[in-house]
This record gives sequence, structure tokens and C-alpha cells, in this order.
Amino acid sequence: MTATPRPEIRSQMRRYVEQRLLMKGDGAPLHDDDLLFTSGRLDSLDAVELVMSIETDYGINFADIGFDLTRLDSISAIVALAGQPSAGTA
Amino acid sequence: MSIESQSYGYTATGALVKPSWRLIPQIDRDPNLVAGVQSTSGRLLLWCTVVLLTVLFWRIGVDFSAAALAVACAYVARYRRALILLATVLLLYRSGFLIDRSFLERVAIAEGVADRIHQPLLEAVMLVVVLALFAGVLALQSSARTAIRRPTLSLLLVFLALVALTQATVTAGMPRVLLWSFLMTSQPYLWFLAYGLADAVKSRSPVWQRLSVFHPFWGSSLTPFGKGLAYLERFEAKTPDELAVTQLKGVKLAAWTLVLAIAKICLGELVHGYLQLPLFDDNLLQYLAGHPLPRLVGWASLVSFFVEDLLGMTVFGGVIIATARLAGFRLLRNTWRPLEATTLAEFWNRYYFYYKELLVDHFFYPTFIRCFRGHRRLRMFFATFMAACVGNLLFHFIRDIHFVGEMGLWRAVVGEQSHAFYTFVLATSVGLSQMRRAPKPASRGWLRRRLLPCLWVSTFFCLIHVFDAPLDREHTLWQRAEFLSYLLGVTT
Repeated sequence: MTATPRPEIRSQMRRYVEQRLLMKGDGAPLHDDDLLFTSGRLDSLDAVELVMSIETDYGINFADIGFDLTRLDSISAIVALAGQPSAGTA
Repeated sequence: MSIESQSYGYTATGALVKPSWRLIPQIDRDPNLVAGVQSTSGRLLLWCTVVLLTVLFWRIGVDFSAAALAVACAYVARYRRALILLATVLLLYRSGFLIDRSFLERVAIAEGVADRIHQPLLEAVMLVVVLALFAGVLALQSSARTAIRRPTLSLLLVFLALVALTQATVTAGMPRVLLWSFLMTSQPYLWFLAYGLADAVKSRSPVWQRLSVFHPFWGSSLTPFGKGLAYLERFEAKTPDELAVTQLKGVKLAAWTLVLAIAKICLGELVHGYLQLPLFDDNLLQYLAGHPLPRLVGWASLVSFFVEDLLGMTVFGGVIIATARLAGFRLLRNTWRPLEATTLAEFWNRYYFYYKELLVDHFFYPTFIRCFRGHRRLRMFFATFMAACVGNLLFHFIRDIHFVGEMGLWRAVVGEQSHAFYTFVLATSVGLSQMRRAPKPASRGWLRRRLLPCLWVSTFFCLIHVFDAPLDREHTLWQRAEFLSYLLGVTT
């Protein structure tokens, strides 16, 4: 698998997060640096869904890198995590 | 388990839902008030409001005195951390650093060394030892070379190993007293240390700042309200505007909590005073003594216990979060509309947010990222089970660790049977509820989509309270099951 370009990761993740927010009835504007979990907009169930999606799509093993919710807490943070060098090599 | 949102009031189309009338006005959304609170006269007015609320709370027996300290902390900017440390130490000193002194005195008498030790001196020395140890562990955890990979697991194993050691015959006498003294001094701060260790790798703050929020002055139980410093920093007001909004949110929450506290008192007066309905605990005891009260009375006391418990939890958490907000930390509420929950997972989340967060952070996520990675549904269920059953049980075992000293390890563990059953049923139900959670089709209508699920969830939690309250080690699982059978009309 080759590494996914960052703009593509950003648009994929944005679509994914917006979809989950809409499922909760949250149609408020979403900026790249908006807090998702610590603001209460997304919950721990969304976090694990997001983890599974990142594991599958970008080959990241959270057991190796350690789970830290702050690394999923905004679109920008997710893009940085999914686009890190170890990702995309699985 | 899920961190249910508290912040949004949006419909699926994105339009903001505006309630037509509110008992507590949305003062934090008024631009004039937000600007006004930043001026000197505005600050003075805010202070007076907080003092008035403190007096009103005091009149009904609720302590809101830390709010004045909170406002002071919010305004000292550069010295905020130092003042938080001072305020925390002051309030901990007032409460004897949360050490169960009478238990330690009983242990010393039982071990026959009471005349050889000076209890206050031993407590002071042990407190210094524990704090120094915690500071050392936090410092070591900050370095990648010395960091422990599974800090919570290691911490719990060490603590439980020391508890087991108190039961060994070789520790009889003075060693046992010293061991219990160490355990009882560290126990109130154990979960704060767990958060501190988890934060250590991501927070560059000095150790003393991390220690300053171990049982912060705004209040806590053994569950950290506001988790650790890294979490708090994310919620800390960074600008005067943010501080003003956060403090107004604090005032708003305090006012609402006051209303609920008064409602709780009125309900208690009505139910137990005017209607003479016995407390749920008394009802259970009467049944076990062979003098059961009428079934209807049993149901009424169970429902009233459930409602009073919800109100009590809301007031308890509301006071703490309002105080933290007045100090400039815009924390999410602890209890938020639990009766509106349509799933079991959602109720648990809305009922005691910071406790649920503790279990999620220290049991759910660690299990989820390591176990059954190839099985989507099993992975989710097992992680939920580890948090809601194993974590829940461990938390309460540690919280009530004095039972080990009083009853012995075996009897204390066996005495957990009813609570173990409670956590097992809870975990299994929440796990299944979690797996089934999906957006409800709008076509099902308000009754089937909202009312019936809400009623089912409340009934479930009301019923399993039979196995959880009173949470002692005296009443067996069988006795509680018999009482439930009686309530359900299965037995007479």
C-alpha cells in the first residue's frame, strides 16, 4: 500500500467526521481545528469507530503507538496522525 | 459507553433549536453581560452573585464555599497555578487530607501498637512519603527512558499487592499498621495519579502543577472531576472573553443546581415526611427481617430512591463543575439530562460523566486497542465489559478498601458478590446496547422513538439498584434477588 496524500486524507476524514456529526443531529460548521471529543461533539463510540477506520485505511496500529484521544481531537490532528511516516505501510 | 455531547442544540438540518422559555436565562450568550463581567464593576458584581449563591447553598446544607476561591484563582492569571495549589492544599488540610483516621486508629488498636505510635505524626509523615513518591513516579514517567508502558495496570497491581500483603502473618503488628497507613493515605489520590501518569508523556508542566490538581479545590470524589492537568489545560479559558463566558456558565450552572437542590429537599419532605414512605434501605432491611412492607410501598420507595439519587448526583456534580468553571475551566457537566437517555449506554454516560470517563480512559480504550483486533463486534463488547464490569468492580473494591481491614480479604471479596452481579448485568446490557446503537428512523414517532426507550432505560436502572444499594458487604446476592422477586410478585 502506498502512502495516501495528505489532502486526500483530509477530505476523507472530514467527510467521515461530518457524517458522524450529522448522525447525532449536529450540523454546525466544522473547521479543521475544531475540537471533536473534548468539546463533546463526538463521543467514545465515535472514537473507536474512528480508530477502526484509521487502522483499516491507513495501517496504523494503536497498540504500538499508544492511544491518545488528543491525537484524534480535530481534523488536523487526525490528518497528522494518519499521514505520519509509519502509516500507510501496512 | 459514550461521551454524550452536551454542547449542541442543533437539529439534523443544522438549525439551532431555541427553547421558548428558560428558568435560568442564558447569561453566557449575552454579549453585553460577557463584556460587562470583564470590567472591574462587573467582576465585583460576579463576586457578589457568587457570595449570594454560597449563602443560599449554605442555607440548604450544600457547601459552595470553594467558589469564592475559584473566582480569586480566575483573576490572578500568571499565578493561577500557584493559587490552585494553595487552595487545594487548604481545602485538603480542612478535610484531613481525606485520610480515614478512625480506621487507622482501629487498626493500631487491633494490632496492639496504639500506645507506641503518635497517630497525627504518623499521618503527617506518611503524607510526605506518599507525596514524595507520587512526585518521583510522575517525574520518572515524564522521561521516555523510564516511563512505564501500562501505568494504570502497574499502579493497580502494586496497590492490590500491598493490600494482599496486609493479610500476611509476617506483617502483623507495626508493619501492618504502617502498610495500612500508606494505603489509606494514597487511596484517595490513586485515580488522580493514574491520570497524572497517563498525562506525563504529553504534558510538559512541572510535577507540582500536576500534583496541584490531585483532588482539586473545586471538589471531587475518588473520581477526578476534570481528569488530569492535560485535560484541564484544554478547557482552561485563554482570553478574557473566554474567561467571562466560562464564569457566566459557572453562575448559570450554580443557579440551576440550587433549584435542583431545593427540589430534592422538597421531594424528600413530600415523600418521606408527608407521605411517610420509608427509605429504600429500610424497606430492604424490613423484608430481610421477615416483616415486608406492602409491595406497592416497596415499589414507591425504589422509584423515589432512584429519583432522589439522580437529583443528588446532579447537585453533587453541579456544585463541583460550577466551581471549576468559576475558576476558569470550562468543564463539561457531570450529570446531564439522564432521563432523556434512550439507550443504556447513553444513560450511564449522562448519569455520571467523569466516572464513566475514568472507566473509558483506563479500561475501555486500553482493552479496545489491544484485544480482539480482528473481530469488530467482539472487540467493542469485550472493551465495554472490561470497563463496565471489571473496572467498575475494581474501582469500588479500592474505594471501599477499609472492608479488607475490617472483614479480611476473603470476606471483603465475597461480600462484593451482589455488586459483581450488578456490574455484570450492567456491563452485558451496556455492551449489547452499544452494539445495537444506531440512528433511529424518524418515522417511528415520538412515542416509540423517544418515550418508550426512555422509560425502558429508566426502569432498567431503577431495578438493578436493588443489587447496588445500599452498597455494603452484609446483604448477599441471594437476599437481594429474593427482595426483587418479592417486588415483582414472584414470591410472597
